[in-house]
Amino acid sequence: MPETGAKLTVYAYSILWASFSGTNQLLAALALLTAALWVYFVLGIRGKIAWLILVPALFLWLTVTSALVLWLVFIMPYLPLLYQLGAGTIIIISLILDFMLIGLFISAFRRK
Amino acid sequence: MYVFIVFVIVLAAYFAAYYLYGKRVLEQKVVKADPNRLTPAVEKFDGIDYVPANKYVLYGHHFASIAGAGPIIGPATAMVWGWGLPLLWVLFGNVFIGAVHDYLSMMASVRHGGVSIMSVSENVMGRKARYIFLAYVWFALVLVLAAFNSVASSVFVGTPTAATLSLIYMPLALIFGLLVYRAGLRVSYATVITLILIVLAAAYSLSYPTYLTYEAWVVILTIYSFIAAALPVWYLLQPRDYLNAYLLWAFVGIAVVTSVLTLDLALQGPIMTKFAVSGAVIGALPGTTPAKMDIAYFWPVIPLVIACGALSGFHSVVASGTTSKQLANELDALFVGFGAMLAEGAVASLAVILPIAVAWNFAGLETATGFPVLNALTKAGINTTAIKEIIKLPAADRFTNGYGLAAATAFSRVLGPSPFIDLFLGFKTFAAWALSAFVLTTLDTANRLARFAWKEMFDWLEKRIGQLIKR
Repeated sequence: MPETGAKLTVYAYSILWASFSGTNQLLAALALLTAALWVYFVLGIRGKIAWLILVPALFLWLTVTSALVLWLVFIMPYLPLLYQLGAGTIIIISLILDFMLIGLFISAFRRK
Repeated sequence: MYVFIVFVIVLAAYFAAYYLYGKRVLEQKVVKADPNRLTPAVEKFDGIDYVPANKYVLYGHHFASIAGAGPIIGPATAMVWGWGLPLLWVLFGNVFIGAVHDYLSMMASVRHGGVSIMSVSENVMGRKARYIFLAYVWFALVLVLAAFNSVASSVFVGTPTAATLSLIYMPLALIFGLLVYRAGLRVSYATVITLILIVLAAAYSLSYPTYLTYEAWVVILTIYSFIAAALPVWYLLQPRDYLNAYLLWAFVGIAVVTSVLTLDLALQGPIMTKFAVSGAVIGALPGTTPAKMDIAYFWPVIPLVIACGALSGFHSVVASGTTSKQLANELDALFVGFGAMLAEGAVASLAVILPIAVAWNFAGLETATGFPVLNALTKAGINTTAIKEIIKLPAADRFTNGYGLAAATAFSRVLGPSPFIDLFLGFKTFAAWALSAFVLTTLDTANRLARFAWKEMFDWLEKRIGQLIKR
């Protein structure tokens, strides 16, 4: 359903875009971290090449996580209720799952 | 700044990334790809999901499914920061994150029997990680379906001719699939036959637009993507994605030719406007408080705006979902996984950011080229006295008009100034078709992947109540 803002029609996607994009980018960070672990432990790659994969993944994780927190604080409270319940809830769940996964990632590194 | 400089930087970055990083480091030193190792598509062939595909067919499937609305809508939205920062992010993201991520998640999946990257995480982070990951992906895919359904529906409302072509595409793709997989026709013959039919369909759809409401399209696309996600891959998904790849290549090809023909043109747009822009860029409703404040700092909010153009987590799900199950040889993976990401990056940098930067100031472009830019835009229904700069248009329109103006400028330099307006209208419609093609393929692949994730998430249930599940 198109939402009507200040005199122009706003389609659902322009409101949903940031939350779609954010969960997508966070997934990339998590998947690349997983791949980095696979490269490190299963393929046994060490040294510069391992860092070349790991450092961008950590940088991305930090960027997206802080961006999503910024979105939750500044953007989400002003959205229509339907979007708060839909996109807002998914972002909160995503951030919780995100922190659980990063915890497992760190402990996987420590254990091995 | 001139088109020439940006064009050279982009090409150099991609060639260096593919050969120096992708081939020399990732394929040869990290993964150590071996052409003699059997891939899951061969080893676990089942005729539904595990089917080895031709390298180029698979590239088409992968490229068409990963290239959604992301590389177009995202960078077009991000142009509020000027063209420099978004371009920098796209190049950095492509080379150091996006392409690496896509290739490694595909190969990790291939080495684990074709399971998803979420299941690979079980091996390296434990069983709990796998279920958290799967739940996360499922929720993320719900947002993909919601956002892309809305994008596709709005494109069909805005460009009804693109709707007609998309409707004709489906049966054509089915015919292609039947010709190749049932009638045993060679891929090249079937491609030529189907491409001719598509050109006819395109001509037909220009005169027969399909008018439906936004809500009707949302319902139709929901039903469509459900059915498309349930059919065997060779039926609709493989052939349609393969055919779409030609459209997408034509789309990228025109963008490259446009750049080459306009190398001496100066970019009208600013390299950078400011570092923090209005909250509207990250989803604030126009008129509300966050839309009036400059709270969108380029770092860290850029990944909330540019998704698939720079890098995308969704790609790991495609790469380790449908693609890894169709990979016939380990040596195909770099071309398919790494190469498709760079091609998608080229969509963002050369087909979206560059044309918008060139066409930024309409009057400026008219003075610089001598072509009737303002008349052409008026003919397309844009009020050029109120809208002087491309940035005042909504994101999707920045893209279609920017692409149309840049391509029309380039080709008018060869063909002369008289067909400029017709060229602009033609290229603009073509851009809208390409956008809708990008979006539709992603829509049903996302639905299929959500099904995979759901199934993997409840595999423990199958072990407990196995006898209750009908096979």
